Amino acid sequence: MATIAERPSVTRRGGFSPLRRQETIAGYLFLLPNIVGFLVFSSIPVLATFSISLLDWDLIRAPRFVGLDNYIKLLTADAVFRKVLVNTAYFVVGTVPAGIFLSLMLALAMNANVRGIAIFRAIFFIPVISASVAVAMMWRWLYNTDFGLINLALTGIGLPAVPWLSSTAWAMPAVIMMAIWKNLGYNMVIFLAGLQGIPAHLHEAAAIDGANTFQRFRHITLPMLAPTTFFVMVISMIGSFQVFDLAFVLTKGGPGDATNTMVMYIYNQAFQFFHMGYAASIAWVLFAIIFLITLGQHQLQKRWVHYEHE
Amino acid sequence: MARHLSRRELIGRLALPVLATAFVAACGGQTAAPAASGPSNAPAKPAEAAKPGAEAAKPGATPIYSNVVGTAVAAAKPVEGAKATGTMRYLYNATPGANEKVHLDLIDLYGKLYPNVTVEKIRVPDDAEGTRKLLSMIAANDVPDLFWNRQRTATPFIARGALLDLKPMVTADKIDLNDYWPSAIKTFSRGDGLYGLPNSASSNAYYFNADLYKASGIPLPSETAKKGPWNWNVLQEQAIKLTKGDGPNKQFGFDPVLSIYSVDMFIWQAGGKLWDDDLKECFLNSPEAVAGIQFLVDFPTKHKAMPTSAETGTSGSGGATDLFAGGRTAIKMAGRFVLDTLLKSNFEVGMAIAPEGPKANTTRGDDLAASIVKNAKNPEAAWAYAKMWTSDDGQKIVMDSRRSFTARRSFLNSDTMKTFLQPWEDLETYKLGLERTGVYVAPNHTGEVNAIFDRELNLAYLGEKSVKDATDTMKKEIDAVLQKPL
Amino acid sequence: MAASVDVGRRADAAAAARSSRLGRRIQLVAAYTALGIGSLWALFPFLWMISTSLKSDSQVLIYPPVWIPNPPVWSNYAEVVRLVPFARFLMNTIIVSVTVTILELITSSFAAYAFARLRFPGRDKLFLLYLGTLMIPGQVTIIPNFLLMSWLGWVDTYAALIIPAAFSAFGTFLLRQFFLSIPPELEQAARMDGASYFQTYRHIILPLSGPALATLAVFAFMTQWNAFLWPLIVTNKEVMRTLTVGIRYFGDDAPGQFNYLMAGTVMSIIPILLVFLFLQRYFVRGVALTGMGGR
Repeated sequence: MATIAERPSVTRRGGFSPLRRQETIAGYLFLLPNIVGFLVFSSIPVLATFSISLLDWDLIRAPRFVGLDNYIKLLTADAVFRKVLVNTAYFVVGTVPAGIFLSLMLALAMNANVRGIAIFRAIFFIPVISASVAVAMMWRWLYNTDFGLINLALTGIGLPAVPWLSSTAWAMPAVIMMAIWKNLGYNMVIFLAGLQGIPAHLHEAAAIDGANTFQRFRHITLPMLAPTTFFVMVISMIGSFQVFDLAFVLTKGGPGDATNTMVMYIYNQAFQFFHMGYAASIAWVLFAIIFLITLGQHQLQKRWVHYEHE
Repeated sequence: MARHLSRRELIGRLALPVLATAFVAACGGQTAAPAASGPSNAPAKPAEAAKPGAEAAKPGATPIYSNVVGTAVAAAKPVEGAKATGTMRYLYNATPGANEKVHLDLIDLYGKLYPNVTVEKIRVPDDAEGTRKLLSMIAANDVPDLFWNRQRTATPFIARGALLDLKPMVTADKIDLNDYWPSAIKTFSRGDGLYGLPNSASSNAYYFNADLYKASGIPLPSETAKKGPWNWNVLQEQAIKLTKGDGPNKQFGFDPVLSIYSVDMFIWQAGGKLWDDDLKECFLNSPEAVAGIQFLVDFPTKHKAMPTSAETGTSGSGGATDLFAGGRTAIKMAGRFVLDTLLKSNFEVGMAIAPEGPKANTTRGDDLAASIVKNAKNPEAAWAYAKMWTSDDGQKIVMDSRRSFTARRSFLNSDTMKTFLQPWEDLETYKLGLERTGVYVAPNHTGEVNAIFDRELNLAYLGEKSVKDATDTMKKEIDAVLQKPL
Repeated sequence: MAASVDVGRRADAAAAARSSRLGRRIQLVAAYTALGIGSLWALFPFLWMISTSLKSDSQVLIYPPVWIPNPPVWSNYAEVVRLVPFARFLMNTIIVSVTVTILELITSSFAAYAFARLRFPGRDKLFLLYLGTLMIPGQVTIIPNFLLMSWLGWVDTYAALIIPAAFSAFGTFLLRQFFLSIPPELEQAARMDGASYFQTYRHIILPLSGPALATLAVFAFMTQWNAFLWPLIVTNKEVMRTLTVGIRYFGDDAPGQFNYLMAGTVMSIIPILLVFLFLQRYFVRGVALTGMGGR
């Protein structure tokens, strides 16, 4: 008997089967509570920002339509944009792979059924819920060249002190380390939830068959975790491309634009330079980049994600 | 099973602090919304009726306010024939406690003078958020009436016509603009109009850590300034001598000078200008300007006598890595707003006037003003407030708050003046500094110019770019911005 | 012959059990040590926050900072509560966070079910739209959003704080991924027995989605609790402000007193931590819930 998934979508020429129509109606009904709010409060403002990107607007005086001028200027004549694009890519490459790997390892550890593990989970979640402002104050002390604990530790074992926040070379690594630290718990929680969906009997069967921990991880855990991993990859990527708060409170984009990111540049353009239209155009270029990468991830996902059906 | 236990344990352990917090919130907390003009958030921990000004030089002492303000507010009577009524929406930013006192006192006074007006406080955490908030309100055409600002936040709004011209009201109420510091009036003027009524002047002075000076056997700048010579060379020598130590015991001589609103002083003192009067051409790479900037950049790069901005991490004071408040730098150029932090510090404080430069002894300023937003619903009430702020009683509140200095020259001679100053604060120094203040004319595209300047200056301070290269870049990019139409 | 093999096997098994017990104990010690070090690394700033929050106004300025405040000034917490309308902010934040979380859980799970299980025209394109809205940074959407609030007359209302936040695409995306990984056999069986889509959703999908729903609940609650920009822009009156905004009054880079800032921050972290701890039991189930082989 054909499963729902396998049933052909059209049973006779020119129409849907009644069951298919029922499914369609159900689909829209289930969507209804969310989609009205979503369209009004998420989609419309987002689409409005595209219209804004076609304007020259300072929020005070009447806007002026400029067509694609913002985009042209952005992509051909803005050296700062190129810099923040590179910085942001640097940040993404620095935080996403390492962050995902570490949080997966952490989730595996937190999945263990040992005494007091609940407290540990909470501890690793604390950085996630701590306000960026307070966290950055602390890290600024840690990173201080003369008085900071990190350099104290480095010089203690004979390494030279690093001018973390005082050099264009080390500022971004400093931000990256702080970002990884802060977000570890976030992905840990998502992976934890995903790990719960892996049937224990699979692991038991494999163990009986003689598979060791690593083999079980590679052939059971990883594949079954794939939908979750995809989610984590997409969200992490979106989040890190949109980095702003952490970098801003730690370095304000300095020194010398070394830690200036795309969203920080958007913020500056909109609210410091009074160019809302230009800021919107940067946002849509950022969108295009993220969208294309996500699309690529989606295509790859079709090949290696194992949804239990579909 | 084990998990259950640990969770219960944990919740049990957390329950106490949570309950304690709730208890504290219930007892010590506010009831509902703070009354619009009520003094219920009065931050005055110390007794208001204490002896004025004395004892505060001791390190770590509790700051004491004079009782002049309390008396003035108590004696205030409603203004005859006042037209102001309704709600007055007031956009401002201040951290709770001492920083907020000036606003709360003024609102108290306003409540006595204009009892028919309710003040709706629209509060933001800092200047940048204030700009963002005001922009969003203007975009939605639902603006506050009164906007408290300083030069860097006011200029973009003035340039784009978002603020009301106060000249007609100034003329109608016969306010004598000559009584104000000329630099302040100029800052908030544009063409023939005045777009902010200055109510506080940022008195520029050098504050120093007397303990560090004494420990190194160097005469205090407060004496050096009076005896002379007190100039760039002397400052540099002192800073170098005061830089010593290692690791956690390290101390630096000179606290960083970062923003364009402070560096301009050094450019002027070297005989240079930032740009021409028409704001069409940038002169930051002229030999004089370069000399001024080089003098500053030499401190961290050549003499290692100044920490970098990232190390001290704060543009205001009292931050987690404020090296001066922490006793790690010997002398700092600042406005009077650092006073509250310094009064809690663990060292003896002193002040002196800015040392003289090779070509001039100009100082820098940063004035605060009250502006009325265009299309505000209640400009009369806002104007009444702005006027009150610059009245004698209002200026008492300004002086008492220790945030800044009086905007009116005649108030300097008021007999209450001495009550507001700490024993080590010197009225003559403040006067001299204010008289020597140079005028910083802000370009329309303030934000962009500042961003370019900050970036290049920072690179020069880190030694990653020579001052020549940095200023050449500044000129090139700032010129382009100056040419841009608004 | 068989007996000796048996004995041999039993002896082997016993030896294996002993060595695995020892091995497990070593593993346990190693694990706890690693966890301990990791926890310190994670907790460090929080400890610093607590330490700073208990310092007097003078002690807090000492640099480099000392760790143990002497004496600890517990009244800083009371001062924070006194200096801003703390109780009111707390109440607002609780109302907003809880309501948004509930709304998001309900509406997102419905929508996620539709996206994961049901076929209808435009489904995939619509889902791309959902994803797309996550990719535009809030710095630019805040102005059109605020103009919308102003037009609706929602400025300074709970509606403005709650409604726009409750329909974020994040929840739908998260739950869709989890729903996709639930095997369809259960639902197919139920549908064949005549269950409606709603019954399938309620009796099959929902119970199996505990971890996912708990995750979303924590994230939604946390996001709303820590929201700063939106509440700041969309409220003017102090009476409608939220806790995160209120704590930020104490400054960031140039605070008046950052011992108070830290006290406020610590107080702000505790409720989220409690929610997290409470929802933990749904994160990690470990044991099968349904009769379906170990899931």
